[in-house]
Amino acid sequence: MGVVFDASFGDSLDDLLALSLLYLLDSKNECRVAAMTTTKPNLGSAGLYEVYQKLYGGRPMAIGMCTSGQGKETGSLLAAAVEGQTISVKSEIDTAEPHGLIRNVLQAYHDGNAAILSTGPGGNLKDLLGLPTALPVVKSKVKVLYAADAPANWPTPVVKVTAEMGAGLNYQPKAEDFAWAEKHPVALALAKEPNAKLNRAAMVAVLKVVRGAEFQVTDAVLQELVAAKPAPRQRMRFFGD
Amino acid sequence: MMTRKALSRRTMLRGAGAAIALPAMDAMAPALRASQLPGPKPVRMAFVYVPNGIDMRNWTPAADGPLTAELPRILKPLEPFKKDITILSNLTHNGGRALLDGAGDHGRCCGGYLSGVQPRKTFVDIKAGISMDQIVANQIGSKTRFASLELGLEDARQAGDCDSGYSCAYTNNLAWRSETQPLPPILDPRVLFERLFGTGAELSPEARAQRAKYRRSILDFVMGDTRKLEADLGPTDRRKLDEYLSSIRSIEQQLERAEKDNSIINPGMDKPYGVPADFAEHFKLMTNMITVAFQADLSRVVTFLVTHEGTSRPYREIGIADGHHPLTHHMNKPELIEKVTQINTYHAQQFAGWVEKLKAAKEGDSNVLENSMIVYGAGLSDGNRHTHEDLPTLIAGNGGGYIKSGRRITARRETPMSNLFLTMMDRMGVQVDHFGDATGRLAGLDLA
Repeated sequence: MGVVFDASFGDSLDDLLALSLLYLLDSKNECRVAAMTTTKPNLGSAGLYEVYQKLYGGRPMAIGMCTSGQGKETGSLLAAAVEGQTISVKSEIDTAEPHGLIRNVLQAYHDGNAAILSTGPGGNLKDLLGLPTALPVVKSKVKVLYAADAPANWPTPVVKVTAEMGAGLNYQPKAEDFAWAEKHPVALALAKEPNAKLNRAAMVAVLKVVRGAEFQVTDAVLQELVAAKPAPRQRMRFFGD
Repeated sequence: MMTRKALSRRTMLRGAGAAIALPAMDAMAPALRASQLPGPKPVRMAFVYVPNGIDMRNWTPAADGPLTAELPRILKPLEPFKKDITILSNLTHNGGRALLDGAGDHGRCCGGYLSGVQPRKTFVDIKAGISMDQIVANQIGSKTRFASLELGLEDARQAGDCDSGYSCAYTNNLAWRSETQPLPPILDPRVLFERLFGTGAELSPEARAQRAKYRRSILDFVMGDTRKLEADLGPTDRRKLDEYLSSIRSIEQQLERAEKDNSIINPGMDKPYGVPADFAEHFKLMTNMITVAFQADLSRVVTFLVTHEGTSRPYREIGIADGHHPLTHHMNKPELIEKVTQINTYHAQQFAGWVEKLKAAKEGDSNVLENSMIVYGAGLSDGNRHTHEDLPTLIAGNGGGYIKSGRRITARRETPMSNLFLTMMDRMGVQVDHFGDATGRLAGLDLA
């Protein structure tokens, strides 16, 4: 299962934790992070995705970034998460158009073997459906969309991501849980914003997307997985790598 | 007041078996629409495709924006024309990637290069997409004698499996008239010459040889018309006509030399009758004829498959006996990379020769290059790893004052190559809402 992760990335601790969890599951070969896109027109937001990709040993990939709309400002959480990180995303040309990128990556998946998790505004998804060649791709490839703000005309099953999804959960991440990495964005963010708001819905959505809607998410599961160090990757090497 | 009847843009010099179109001349001005002489000229478009990727380390300039620094090694032959070219970075063909179809990057990257689709993996019931040159040719082709011209330098089969299950039709053709009909390139300069300046009758190789035995210049056959025309022309037009006919004569002489050499040199393989044994000579002949075709407005759309995708052609003329394709899988061995770079540079050198010709072909107060968009590039970037992003692409010419050249423009990552094609179609006067996998027009190419 390939998962496209779309968020106003860097605005909430929930998204940082959700992506940590998603990448952990990727490292355990339970899923693949197919693409990461941000609705936030902010290079720091795109750069933070790059930090994750490198930190978790993910495949190098273009990062989708919306270049217009709201959310340009760098909040204190994002600023903390990217502080001191090595980031090669320096300008818009280091990023990709989110809608074209999502369409392209979906084409590489078998029918019904991809999902999209979108925790932010639905702008990138609306743009995706606006691409003339995207609709049949979305229809055939995307098994389910978990979204906080799904377009009304989305052609495959949609599960609304709401704060209620995390109701009853009390998982509380600690900076030291992420000490396996020298500069884990969550640890940096927590150090700066120890009382950052948390509703856990995005983490629940990640587990539902990857393990199925029936999967029961508990605090113990989150405690075990969210901050875990990724498994070492066995990757194929090519001549020239 | 004396008035002289304007010369028709369609005037031809005719003779037995010959019909030579004329370049734009002052005497035609009154007969031409306001959109033509002496104002804007017709915009021409060509695609020059080189196979097996390019060594990007020696292709990509260090910085974006104006090309002020010395060009990288492969592009060095284009140094004198730095102000006339635009280097584009980050253009991508997603359809060239495996997606779910496994191996076959060479088949996919060429088969879908001008259509922006992923070709069907098959060598039986081929299917790609109508290529953008043919969309343009369909719409504006009626304005010229040939809606489009498809050329190449390397003989290649059209059927069978050429790359991991992909038909040779994909690796060996650039232009596609429909999803299922590729347009094989003309390889033989004599065939192209006869097509451009003959009356359309196909000659067998034997008949051609017979004719060659008694050959006179094609100009001899149209001498009567030429003299009549000259009498009606002013001194500027007379000089222009003389230069133009001289260039045709020069092509004829090149052809004759090539055919003579061919009878002496045994290339060790079957070659069409008029194909020169020498690569550079062949390239020059074909591009000289395209220049004349552009000058005379015989066609505005050309595709030129230099050699076919996956070719293992050696380049002994520059001391490289290894095949091109095997070399590109160089395993990072510096001595093999060096040879790839030399081949890439050799190709660019030939291309630079053509750019020089186009620039020298005057057209009113501008030249043919200024009024053209000649795309030079490949369907793979790194030929070793078969990558389909950041495809090596440059445009020579200004598209009739549209492209602000002398720059490197870097698009956002993953920008579809189809965005460039959509923009070029606009410039050719062909409006389509959507093409291939385009996400929009290519930003930053125009003068704005």
